[in-house]
Amino acid sequence: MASRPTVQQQARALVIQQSLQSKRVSLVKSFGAKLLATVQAPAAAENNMKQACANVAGAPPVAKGVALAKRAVAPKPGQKKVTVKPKSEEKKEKKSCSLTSVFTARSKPKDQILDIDASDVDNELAAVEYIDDIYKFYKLVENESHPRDNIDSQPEITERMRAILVDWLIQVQTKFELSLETLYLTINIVDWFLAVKNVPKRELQLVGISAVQMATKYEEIYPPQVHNFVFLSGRAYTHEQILIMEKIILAKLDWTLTVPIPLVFLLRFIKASVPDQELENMAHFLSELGLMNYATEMYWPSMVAASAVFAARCTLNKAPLWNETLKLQTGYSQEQLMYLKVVYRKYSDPQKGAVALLPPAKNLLPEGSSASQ
Amino acid sequence: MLTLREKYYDFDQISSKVFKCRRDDQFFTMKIVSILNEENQANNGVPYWIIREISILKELDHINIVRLIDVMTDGPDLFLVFEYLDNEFQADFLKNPKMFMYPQMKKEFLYQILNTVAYLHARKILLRDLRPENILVNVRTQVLKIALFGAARTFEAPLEAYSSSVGCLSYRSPEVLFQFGCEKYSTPNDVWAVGCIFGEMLLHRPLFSGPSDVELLDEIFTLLGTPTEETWPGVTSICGTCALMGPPQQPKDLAKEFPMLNPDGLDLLSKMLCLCPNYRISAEDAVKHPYFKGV
Repeated sequence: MASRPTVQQQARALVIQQSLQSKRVSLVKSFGAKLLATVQAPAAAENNMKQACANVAGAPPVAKGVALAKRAVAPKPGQKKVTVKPKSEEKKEKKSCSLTSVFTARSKPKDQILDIDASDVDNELAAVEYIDDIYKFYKLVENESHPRDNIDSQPEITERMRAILVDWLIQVQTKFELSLETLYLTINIVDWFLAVKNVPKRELQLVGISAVQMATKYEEIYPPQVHNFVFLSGRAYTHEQILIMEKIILAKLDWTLTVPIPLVFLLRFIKASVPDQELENMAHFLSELGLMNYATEMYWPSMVAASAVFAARCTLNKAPLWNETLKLQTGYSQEQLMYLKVVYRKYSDPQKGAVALLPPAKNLLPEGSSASQ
Repeated sequence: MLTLREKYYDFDQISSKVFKCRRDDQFFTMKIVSILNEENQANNGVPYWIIREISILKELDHINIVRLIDVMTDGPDLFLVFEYLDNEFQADFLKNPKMFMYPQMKKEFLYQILNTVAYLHARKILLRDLRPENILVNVRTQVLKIALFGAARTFEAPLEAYSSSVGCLSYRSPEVLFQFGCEKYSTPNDVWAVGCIFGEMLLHRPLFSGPSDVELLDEIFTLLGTPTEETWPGVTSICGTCALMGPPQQPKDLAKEFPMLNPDGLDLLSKMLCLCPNYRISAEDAVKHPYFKGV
């Protein structure tokens, strides 16, 4: 690799620097103002919100100090892989099986399973011959490659602070036209780091900056330079601080950045959904909303991605809401994705603008129930 | 926590940044990477290729991939500790035909390379810089190991644009050589490199060695013929101008160029060196090719 920057790299650096000058002020202000407001909020309200979020997620309470699964390690052949799913998935009610239901099920025409790669056979960029192996591998390692219990173990960082950081990181990604892979990897790095090391609140943004710097190095062709990130923080952190934090994060994460993020599943599941542009955008929108919410950390990346596609189909009134192709590709049935009800209820609250009560989302509720229940 | 000198000892310099060292009764290879630039400043921290190399190697567990044992830091330097291998594929094998002790050995080595590439592609990793210098050999067990993952990167399907200035020129595929700035290529790029290595194993010299993109393309077309819309759909739109392709040339008879190869071997070589990436054999299919019957 040539060490000297190419013309494209120099041009990109110049563009980034110019855009940074104009953009960093608003970015710095938005992050600082939001974080300040959060820090000043009463601790009691914060605890209440935490409790509510835990209830909404339907997740089991996790004891502090629970050992984390090693990051992104596939079980060796011969080892039994033990996975723990959230309790909401564990306990499935046994449905009573009547004779009528058996006959009804038999009489229904079987959904045709589409070969979603058929049109890409002659496109080497689609890597069709490896696609099944790739997603089998993703599924194998996804349980060990997503963090758990990261906020509960933090003495100073709250869910709201994390949400503000994620919101700011999404702004950074948008302003500097970084790839979605970079965004999702950045948040994965932040969450893993919060799961293994206590971070003082004054360093939370520094962790975010170092994480996005590492993610750009991993994903982008022309990663921005460190001085761009110094600008980005409004000079709140020095060049040296960012580099020191980078080394700390890499060491704590054992240098493991090759992990399946929700996005890798999302791209596949969107394809399986035979989308129009609106559905694709809606699924991405919902998936990025999920990044903001700490509760989604309880679920596997593939489930978060499948849920985003399912919710997008519900919101846009796609019929059927779920089909055999999606079930095959995602590995989840419609019933398994119905944990979305809790999110629906949360966003039915007037404090959240009651956005979930907009007509298209009514498909998310089971028949015969209403938002007020 | 043990320091570098407490953990490893008996350092023997192999090259400027590579050492052979020992821990207990085992030998290791240690690669030193400096985070500092020419002006002795840590401008951008850990280099991107090191982040990729370490992260990718941490994920892999395959007999034909060199194992990363340890990563240690000491000031501005990183120390990467790998399993030790005594022979270099290019220096010791390709330049010395006598090292191939029996006829089947070349076939076994090729099989190992293809098997590894298929494993990597199934784990969404593009090697992008596969060449003989990056292959090591354990002569005792006759096991090949692919090393140096500095240019490797993970990919998502469908593939995005990636850097087109990767890999040693001699092993770059025509689609990478053609697409100046287009930067879209995929798994067939690695298969092309394996085809070049196969040719080199047979001829004991690089199959293509042009000093520039254009001259290298000319060498490729001299052997394999100039691509047309029939043999490579969309080729004229890819290269932008037919001037790049020079005057039309007919493909040479590979049986005459590689008389040592049986029909199965010729078939596999021609499929790996297929100009059109869409029609090029995948590593996964190449491993199942009849040429490897009995390996």
